[in-house]
Amino acid sequence: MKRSLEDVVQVTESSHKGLNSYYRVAPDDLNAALAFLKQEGARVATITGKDARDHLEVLYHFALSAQLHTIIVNLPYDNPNVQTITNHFIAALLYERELIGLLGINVIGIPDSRPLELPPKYSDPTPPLRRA
Amino acid sequence: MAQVNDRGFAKLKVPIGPSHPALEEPARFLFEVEGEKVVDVDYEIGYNHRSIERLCQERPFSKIVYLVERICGICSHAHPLNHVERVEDIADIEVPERARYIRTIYAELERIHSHMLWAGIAGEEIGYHTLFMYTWREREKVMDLFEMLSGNRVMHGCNKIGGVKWNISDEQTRSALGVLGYLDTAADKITKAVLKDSNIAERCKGVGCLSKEDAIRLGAVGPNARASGVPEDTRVMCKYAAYGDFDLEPQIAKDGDVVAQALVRLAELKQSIKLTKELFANLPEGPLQVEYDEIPPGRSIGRVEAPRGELIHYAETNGTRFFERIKIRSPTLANIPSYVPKFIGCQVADIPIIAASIDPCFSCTDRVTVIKDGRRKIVSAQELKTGRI
Repeated sequence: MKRSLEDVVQVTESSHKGLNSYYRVAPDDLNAALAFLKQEGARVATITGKDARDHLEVLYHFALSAQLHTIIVNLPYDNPNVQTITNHFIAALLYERELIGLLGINVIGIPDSRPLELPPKYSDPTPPLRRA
Repeated sequence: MAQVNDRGFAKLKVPIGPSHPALEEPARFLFEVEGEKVVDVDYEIGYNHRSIERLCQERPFSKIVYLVERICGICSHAHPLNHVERVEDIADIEVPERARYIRTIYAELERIHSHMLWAGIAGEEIGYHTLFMYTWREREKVMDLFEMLSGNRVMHGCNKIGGVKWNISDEQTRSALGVLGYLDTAADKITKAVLKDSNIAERCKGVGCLSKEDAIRLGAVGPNARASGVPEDTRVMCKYAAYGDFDLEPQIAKDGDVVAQALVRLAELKQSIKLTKELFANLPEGPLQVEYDEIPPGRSIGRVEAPRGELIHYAETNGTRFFERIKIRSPTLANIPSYVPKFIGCQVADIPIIAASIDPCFSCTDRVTVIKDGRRKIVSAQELKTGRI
């Protein structure tokens, strides 16, 4: 990247190793970070949801040539809402549907909110990738 | 009463799958058709979901290499290769050169047999059973080669954190180079049989098209994207394993149809045979593995070029002997959205070959069987969820 993501949004934590870079940003800054990455020519590689015990994390992984840039946002355990990124990257749709089904994250504005892998009648209130 | 358009066709919804003769893999498609023309499609996957990511969090490091090897029967080397590279990246483990070459040999042999498998299935989907039989007969040579090198046709058990388990002797190298010479000739014959056949051209030209813009917009990867002119090959970009030691060019086509898919895979077949010969001929001397003390807390994400395209593994460790998180993004998941532009506008009779054209893989089983103390136990969905097996 010619400019750094840190020039565009407030990054609370960052690390770099080899081809990988990680940036933790506030959920409110996610939109600006994605707009920047899109402008730089990045494509969404995948999205990882993680139960970090006292909160949830969403890791958005973007490929930019050989580099992989990961944007991390923290979400509260009880009310995990995050805006969809499909307005920037439509290819993220299936990965966001995974977040809904496997971690119970509410993705606001997603055009198709059906859980991806779970059967329609899956009734357990605890999503499969939550620890508790 | 169904609405009828001005040509007298009613719009009908036709469900196909998850188990259906037209599909090699269990996915469900809901096609909306007007006469013989597909006008819309919806898809549903998850019929093979096995909670592998959850299982990876519930087991110690030493078990996970075996577990990820069993994600897919075709990419049984690509998954553990990516996984051990993630752990080695976290722990700063320098893998010996000979091990990097052996890993690359297995990866390329996997690509050779997978692309041959695809060519056979594609032939079968269009009713060309001779091509299916001929291609799969030659593919057996690669499976025999795997058996000679690792003792197994499918689960090679080659990778371990810090290197590889199996060495390659001079005698095995000589045998392998002989087989690769035979496969080189066979690949030429297969290529000629596919690309010079006017019936295949008439049947597949312009079928299941994906434009370069749609391939990029929808996140297509691997041969599926390269058939639409996207010049991305993870082996070339990321230079993992021993790929940095060799000059490789991404094999691309521009039309994005079934013929372009064949062009790319057949070119990659030849490229992989040539590369594997070079790998065997230049196999460096040295140790197979290095020892390591412990895995520190950290995270790593990386890509390898599986036969079906870019395969992503993310690993996060927390200082214990269990992973904090393992995330796997297989190439087929990235390629599924590209089905929509491929199917819309096609004829119903073209659905099977278009479905097969991206070489989908939802893996082959929807449950886990555990052998413990000599007894076989099938794991329930609830046990999978809780990880108590």
